[in-house]
Amino acid sequence: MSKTVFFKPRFAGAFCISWMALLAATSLHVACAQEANDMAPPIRDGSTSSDSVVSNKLHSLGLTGSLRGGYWSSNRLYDDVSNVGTGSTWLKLDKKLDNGIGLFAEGFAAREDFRTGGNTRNRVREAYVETRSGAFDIRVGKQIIAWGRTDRLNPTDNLTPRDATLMAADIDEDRFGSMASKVSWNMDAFTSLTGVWLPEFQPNRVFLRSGFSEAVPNSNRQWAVKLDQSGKDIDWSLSYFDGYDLNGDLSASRVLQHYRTKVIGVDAATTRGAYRFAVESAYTQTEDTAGTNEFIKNPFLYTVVGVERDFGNNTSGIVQIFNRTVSNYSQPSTAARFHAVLANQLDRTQNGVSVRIAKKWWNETLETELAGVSLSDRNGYSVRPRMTYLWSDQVKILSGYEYYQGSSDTLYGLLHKNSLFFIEMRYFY
Amino acid sequence: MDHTSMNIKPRATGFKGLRTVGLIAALTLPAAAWALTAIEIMDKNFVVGKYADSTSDTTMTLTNKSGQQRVRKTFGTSKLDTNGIDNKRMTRFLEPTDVKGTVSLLVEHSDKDDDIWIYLPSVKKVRRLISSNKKDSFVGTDFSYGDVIGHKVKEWNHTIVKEEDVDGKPCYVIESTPKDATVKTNTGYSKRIGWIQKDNFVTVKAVAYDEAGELLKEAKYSHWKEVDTVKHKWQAGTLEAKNLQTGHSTVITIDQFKVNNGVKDDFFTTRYMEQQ
Repeated sequence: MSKTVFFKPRFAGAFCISWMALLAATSLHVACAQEANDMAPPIRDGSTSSDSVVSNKLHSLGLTGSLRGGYWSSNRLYDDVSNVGTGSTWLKLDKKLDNGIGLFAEGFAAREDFRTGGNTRNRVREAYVETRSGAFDIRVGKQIIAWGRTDRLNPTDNLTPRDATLMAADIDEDRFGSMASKVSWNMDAFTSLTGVWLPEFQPNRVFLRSGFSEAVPNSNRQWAVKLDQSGKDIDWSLSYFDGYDLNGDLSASRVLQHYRTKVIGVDAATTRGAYRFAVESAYTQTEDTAGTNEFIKNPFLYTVVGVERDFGNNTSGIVQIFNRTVSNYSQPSTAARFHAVLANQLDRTQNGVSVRIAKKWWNETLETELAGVSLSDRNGYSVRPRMTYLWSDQVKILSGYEYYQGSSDTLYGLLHKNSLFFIEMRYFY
Repeated sequence: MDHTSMNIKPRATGFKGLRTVGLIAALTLPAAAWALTAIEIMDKNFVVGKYADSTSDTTMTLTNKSGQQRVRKTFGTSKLDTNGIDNKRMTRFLEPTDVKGTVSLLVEHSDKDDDIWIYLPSVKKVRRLISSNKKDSFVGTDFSYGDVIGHKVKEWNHTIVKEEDVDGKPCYVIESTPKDATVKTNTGYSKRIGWIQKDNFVTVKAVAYDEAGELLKEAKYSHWKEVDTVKHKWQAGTLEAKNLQTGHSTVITIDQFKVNNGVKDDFFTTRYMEQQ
C-alpha cells in the first residue's frame, strides 16, 4: 500500500550518461581482477549462455542490463495524461575484486511519454562498495536498505525511499538508495548487529500539485541499528531508527515538510507445514508527541500480521491484516483534514486487510498474481492483477492493472486518477 | 501388489535342494548382490550421494515442447550434517541476467520440515519460504524439490519388482509408493519406479506417476563418477528429466564438481545470500 499520494517528479540530475560511462570505465579497470576470495560469489570468465557477443563482453566486465519499452494507459503524476509510451535502458555493475572488495551500481535512463514529448528521467539507484573483514560486513555508498518480514506492508522499512511517480512495472523497482554507511557485525552464523549512518536524507518521491511545495531537510543526523536473527526456527529482528519521515506532513501553507521520527520496530517470521506466519510492528515517535499540532503526525503504532498458505502446484496465497493506532488522537479540524488523510490519521485507528494470490505456470515462464488492499472502516481499496511472461532468457513481458477506488477521505479515493493498465517488454543483455 | 511387503527373500530359499549351494554363493558373492531387501537397497541408494561437502557449477537447459530453450547457470555448495543424512544446500544463479544474483538456501531436516530461504536481488532482502510442499518445480526445471533433495526412504513402501539391465549394467527395479496421503500430496507422486545399479546403488533411470496415477515424468542419470573413492560416494554428471504430460524437458549438466573441500559454514547463512 502506498503511503504517498501526490506525486512530484524530481528528475535526478543530468549525469546519467556520464555515470554509465563511469560504470564502463570502472569495469574495464577491474576486469583483470578475477580471483574470488573464499566466500565471494563465483566470478566467470565471460563465457555465457547468451548468443550475443556484446552481451558476453559486457558480462565479462560485470555489466548486465535491459532495454525496455512499454505502453501505459496513464502516468503516475496524478494528471489527465493518458496513453503514455515509455522507453528506458537499465544498467547494472556487479563486480568482485580479488581483494574481496565488491563494486555494485545500478541505474537507468528513461524517457516517459513519447507522445507528448514528456519526461526524461535518469537515476543512479545504487552505487556502493562493500567488503568483509572477519565478522564484519561493510557497505558504503548509495544503497537501498529494505527492512521488514511481512509482505509489502512494512512498518519497519523507513530508511531509504521509493519513487511513487516512476513508471516501473516491477514491484520494488520504485526503490532507490540514499548515501549510507552500513556495518554489520555477524556475532554468529545466525545473529547480526547492523548499524547504519545516513549522511543525507532523501524523501519518497511524490507528485505535488501546483501550489504545493516540499521542504527537504539537509542534515546528516540519521542513524539506525538492527539486531537480526535468521536461519533458526524463527527469523526475527529488533530495530531502531532515528531520522526523518520519508512521507512528510502537509502544512497549512501547503508545504510538504519532513519532521524527525524515532521508530522502534520488531518483526518475525516462521513456517509450519504449509503455512508461513509473519508479524511486523513499529511504534513511531513523531515531533508532535502530545498531539497538539494538527499538521504533524501524532505518534502511532503500525502493525501487520500475515499468514501465507502454499496450496501446491506453484500456487500460494497471503492474507494480512493491518492496524494503525494513533496516540493522543483528536478529531482533525476541517483545515487539517487533508493532512490527516495523507498521514493515515483521519481516525484513531485504521484497520484493513491485504490479500495476494500468486501462481506460476509452464515451468515458471508465466507468473500471475492478484493483489489487493482494503480498509475495513472506510470505503477505500486497491486491486492489482499482474502477469509476467518469460518469452526467452532475453525477452520478458510484464503486464498489469492498478485500480484504486474509495471515498475522498482515503488515500485510495485520492489515487483513483492513477488507476492504470500497462504492458512492458524487456530485452536483457 | 502388496506394497507393505518390503522384505524380498533370496530366491534360493524356495529351492531346498539348492540351499547348500545358495549358502556357499552367499558367502562368496558380494553382499550387495545377495539378500538385500528393497528398503536396504533404497537406504544405500539414499546415502550413495551423501558426501561430506561439495561445490559445483551447473548448467540447466530447459526445453519446452516447441524446442525453445532457456539456460540457467548456477554455482552451488552443499554440506552434510553430522547425522549423515541432512544436507545444507546453497544455489546462486549466475545466468541469465533476469535471475542473476538470486540465491536459495535449503536446510534439510530428517525429523521435521526443511527450511528454505531465498534472496531476490530486486527485493533486497532474504525471505523464508514454505517448504512442506516438495512437488513444485525446482526453479522451473522438470525436477521437483523432492527429486533434488531426495525422497525420504522411510516415507515410502518399497518393493523390488524385477531386475534388468540398463545400458548393460544390471539394476534392481524398485517400485516405491507413498506410505500415506500426506506424502503423496506433498511429493505429487502416487508411485515412483527407480532403476538402481546393483554394483554401486546409484539411480540410473526413474519414472514417476502423478497423484491420479498417470505417468508424469521420466528421468535419466548418467556420467556417474565416484567422487569419494574412500567412502564410495557417487555423483551423476548429467541429469535429465522429461515431463511426459507437457513435453517439457530439463538437462542438468555438472560442469565442475568437487567434494570434501572443507566448504565453510558461512555459505549457508543469510549473510552470504545477501552478498552481491
